[in-house]
Amino acid sequence: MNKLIIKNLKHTYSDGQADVHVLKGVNATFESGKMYAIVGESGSGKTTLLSLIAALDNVQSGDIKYNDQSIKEIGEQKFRLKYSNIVFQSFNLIKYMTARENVEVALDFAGKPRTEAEQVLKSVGISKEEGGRLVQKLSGGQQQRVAIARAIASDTPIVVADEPTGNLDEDTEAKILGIFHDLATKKKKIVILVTHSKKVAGHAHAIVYKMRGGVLAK
Amino acid sequence: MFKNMLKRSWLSTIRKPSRTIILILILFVMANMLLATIAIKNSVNSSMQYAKDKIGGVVYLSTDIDKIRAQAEAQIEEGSEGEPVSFTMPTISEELAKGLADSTYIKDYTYSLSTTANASGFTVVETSENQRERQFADAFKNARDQMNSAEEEYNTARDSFNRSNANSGGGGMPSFNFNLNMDIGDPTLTRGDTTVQGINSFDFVSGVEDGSITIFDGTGFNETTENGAVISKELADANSLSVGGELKLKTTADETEQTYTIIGIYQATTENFNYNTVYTNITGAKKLLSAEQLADLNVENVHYYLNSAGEKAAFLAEAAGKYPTLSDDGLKLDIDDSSYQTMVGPIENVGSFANTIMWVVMVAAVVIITLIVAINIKDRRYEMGVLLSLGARRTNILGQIFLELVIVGTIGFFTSLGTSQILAEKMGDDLLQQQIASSQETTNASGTTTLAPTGRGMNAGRGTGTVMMMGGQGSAAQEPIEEIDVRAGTTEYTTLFGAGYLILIIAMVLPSINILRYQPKTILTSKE
Repeated sequence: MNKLIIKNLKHTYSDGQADVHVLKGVNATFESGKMYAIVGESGSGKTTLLSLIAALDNVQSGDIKYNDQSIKEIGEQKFRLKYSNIVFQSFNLIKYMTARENVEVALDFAGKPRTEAEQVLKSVGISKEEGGRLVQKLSGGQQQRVAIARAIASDTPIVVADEPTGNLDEDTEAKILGIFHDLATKKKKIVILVTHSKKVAGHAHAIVYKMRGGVLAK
Repeated sequence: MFKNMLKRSWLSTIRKPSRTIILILILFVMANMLLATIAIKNSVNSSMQYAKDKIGGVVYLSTDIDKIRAQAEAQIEEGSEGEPVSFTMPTISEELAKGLADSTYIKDYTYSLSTTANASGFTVVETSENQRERQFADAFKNARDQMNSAEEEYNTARDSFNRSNANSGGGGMPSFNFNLNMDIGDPTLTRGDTTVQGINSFDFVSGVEDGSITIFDGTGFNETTENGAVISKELADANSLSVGGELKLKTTADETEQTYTIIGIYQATTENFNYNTVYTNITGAKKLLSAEQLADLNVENVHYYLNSAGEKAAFLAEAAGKYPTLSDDGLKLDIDDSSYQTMVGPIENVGSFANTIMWVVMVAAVVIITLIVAINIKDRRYEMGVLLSLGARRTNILGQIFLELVIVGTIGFFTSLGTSQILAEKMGDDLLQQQIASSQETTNASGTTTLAPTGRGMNAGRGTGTVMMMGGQGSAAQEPIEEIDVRAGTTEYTTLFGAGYLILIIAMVLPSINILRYQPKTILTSKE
C-alpha cells in the first residue's frame, strides 16, 4: 500500500499587507485505494494544501512524504511528472487544442504513446468525436472530464482535484465522482478532492477531513 | 521529445492565425531590411577590397616636420633667453630607402636625388625659374654695387672732412667699415644652370602617371640604363638636340664634364615647368656629385608602392620592427591613400549607412518582437503553469516558445528571400546616388575636385581633398565608384538566418524567464 504522509505542514503567504499563516501544522496520512475529501470554508487553506501535495509550490515548513520519500528529495518537477497530478477548479485546459491534444500533452511529458489519449478519454466518457473538438466547444462537464483525463493520463499514483464538480449539474457531478471513485478503488490511486460541497463530502466512499484554523481534522 | 515540442509549437502557430500573421509580417519586413543591408554592406566591402587591390597604396618616407618643430619648441622653452636653438634636419640615406623596400608588401619603390650641373656645349632655355634666379642674382649684385659705392663715397667724404678738420685743429670723423665685401656667397655660383634629377625609372617621375609629362620622342630609362638622359622638347629644340645625340654637363664642384646619350625627349604641360630639367637614373645623377657629396648621399621623394592598400598597417609594422629608431631620427612613413579615398568615398558612406540601418533594424526587431512575445506569454501564463503542473521542465517550455518563433521566423525569412534582392538593389542604388550627388555638391561648392562626403566629416581635415598625385605611380587620380553590384547570396542568407534567430532568442529570453522563474501555483494564481 502506498502512503502519502503530511507532517506538521506550515505555510505562510503575504497578501501584500501582512503575512497570512494559512497552514499552521497540518498532519494527515492518505493511503492508496481510497478517496478523500477535504472540506472547509473559503480561505481555510484547502487549495494551498492541495497545491503543496501536487508540488505546485514549495514546502516551507514540515514535510510531505510519499512512501517515505519527501517531495524535496524527489524533486518538485519529478514529483509533478511521476507522482502527482491535479485537476484544476477552472479546468485550465489549453484552449487552442482539442480534447485529445490536451491529453496528448500529458502523455508526451510522461513519455507515453499518444495513441493512449483516446482510451483515456473514453474512460472518462469522452467519445472519439468529442475528443477531436477544440475544448472551447465542449460543455463544462465535458471539459471537466477532459481535465480529469489529462490528470490521469500520465498514470501518477496521486490524483488531486480542486472543486472538481463546482460548476456541474447533479447528473454530471455524480458521474465525475464515480470516475474519481473508480480511480481510487480500481486503479488503487490516492485520490484527494477539495470541496465545499456537502454532497461530495458525503459521498459514500469518501473519507472526510475538515480544514479549520489552519489544521486538518477528521 | 523534440517532435512533441515541435507539434505543440506548430499547433500554437496555426491555431492562433492573427498573432502568427502579425509576427510573420514583422519578421518579413525585418528580414527584408536586414538582408538588404547585409547585401549592401558585403557588396561595399567587396568593392572596397577591389579598390584596394586596384589602386594599391603608396607609402612615402619623409621628414617628420611636426616632430622637428615640436623638438625645436621644446628646446626654446627649456633653453635660456638668447641662447641659440640648433637642430639638424634629418636626411634619408640611400641605404635606408633601399632597406625599407626589401619587403613582401612592396611591389615597387622609387627615390630620387636632385643636383645641378652646368650646360656644356648647349645653352639652357629661358624659363620662369631661371629668370627668377637671374633676377635675384642681379638684384644681389646691384645691392652689393650700391653698398660698395656708398662706402666709397663715405670714405671720400670722411677723408676730406678729416683733412679739413686737421687743418682747423678739430677731431677726425670716425672710420666706418661697411664690410660689404664680406663672405656672402653669390647664389649663382654654387648652382648649375641645369637641374638634374636622378630617379630609378622614368616612369616614376612625378607627372608621368597623370600624363602631364609624356615622352615625345625616344624612350624613358630604368635602373640599368647606362648614361641615358631624357631632356625636354624645349631644350632639344633650342639646341637642335635629338634622340641618339650627346648631352654634356659639367659638375658644379670641379667643372668635370660628363657625357650622356639622349635616349628620350619629354614634353611637359605643367605651368612654370623648368625645361632645363634633365632626367637620368640614379647612377647617371651620381656622376655629377663630388666624392664628399657621394659619401654623405641623401635621397628624397622616397615612395613605396604596396601590393594592396590594405597592407599598409602590416608594412608599417614591419618597417617599425626593422628600423625602430626611424621616428626618433625625425623621419616618418605615411600613406597616400587619397585615390583610394576618392574611389571608395561614396560607397564607404553607403556601407556606413547600411551598417547603421542594419543595427537600427536589429535593435528595433528585438524590441518589437520582445514586446510581442511578452504580450503573448502574458496571455499564455496559465498554459505555462499547466504545462509545469504536468511535469514539464522549464527548458521544455522555453524550447516550445522558441520553436514557435522559429516557425514564424523561418516563414518570414524565406519569404523575404524573394523580395529582398529588389529592395537591396533599390536601396543600394538610392543610397549611392545620394552620396554621389552629395559629393558633387561639395565639389561645386568648394570649386575643387573634392569628393569629401557631407554629413559625416569622414574626409574632414583633408584640406581641399583635391585628388592629386603624390609621387607618381599607384596614386593616380581615380573616379569614385558609382555602381555597386548588390547581390544576396549564400553568405548573406546565412547571416540573415543567423542574425534572425539570434534576435528571436534575445527577444524571447527576457519575457519567458520573467514568467518561468515562478512556481506553477504563482503563475496559475496570478492569472486568476
